[in-house]
Amino acid sequence: MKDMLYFVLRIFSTVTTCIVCIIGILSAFSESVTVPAAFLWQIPVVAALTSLPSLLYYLYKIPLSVRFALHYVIVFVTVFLSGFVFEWFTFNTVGDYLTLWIEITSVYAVAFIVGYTSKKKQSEELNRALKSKKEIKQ
Amino acid sequence: MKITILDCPPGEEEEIILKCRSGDENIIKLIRALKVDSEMLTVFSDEKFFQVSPRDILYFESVDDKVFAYLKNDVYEIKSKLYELEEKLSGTDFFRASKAALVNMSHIDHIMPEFNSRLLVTMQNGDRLLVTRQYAPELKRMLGLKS
Repeated sequence: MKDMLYFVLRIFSTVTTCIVCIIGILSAFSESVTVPAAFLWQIPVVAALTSLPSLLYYLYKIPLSVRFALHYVIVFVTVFLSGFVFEWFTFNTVGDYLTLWIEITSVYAVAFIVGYTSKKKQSEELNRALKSKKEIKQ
Repeated sequence: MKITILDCPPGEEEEIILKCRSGDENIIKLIRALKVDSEMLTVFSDEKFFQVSPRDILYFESVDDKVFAYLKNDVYEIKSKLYELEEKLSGTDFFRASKAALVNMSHIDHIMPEFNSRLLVTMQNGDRLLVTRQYAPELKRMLGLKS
């Protein structure tokens, strides 16, 4: 339980920091970007809502690809609905929906590639060490 | 350290003599491992008692205050508590994987990293067990990797 709480809090702080940094960078480079006061509570709310689905990764009996797909769908729907409710995005054309989908999917693709590469490397290292340990014992 | 192996004549009991300074941690570990390897554990199933060697046990799991020993094809209950087994089997290939499991490293088929610094081990019989964040460094240390 403590472990799960720590994991969710870590995701929450990462998501909050990332959103604040992105808004900070955008407002620094573009005068048209203004930050409403409501963002102060909306950002932690969205960060909390998008952190909770991370608990799916604790269901280790479900294949990782399925957990990743489920997480992607839940987070996408959460971001989409939050943006709609808090009026963060304006959806006038199909292109607006498509842009948002591409943005979220791109972030996911990068996270997936980074995560997959790192896990593959770690997995190879662990199994190589396990194999050599067994060979020594034999 | 010098290692001498002498031929044992047929019919004579095999014997290990250690010539060492007392208190050497590596020697203590070696003695423990040798003792455990020759010791048998009493397990039971359907009110029948059996003797099994720790080396044949894949893992121990505690479920509802009962401890079970998982072998390749059988599951037996054991009277000892998990912490007692951990103590008894220290210095061997057994390591604590979580609050509820004690795993024999020599029966692990493969290891997969999981989220939040946990590890998922697949045993030779296909059972999968989670090594929690707290205990993952111990497995890495046993494998000679940086934790």
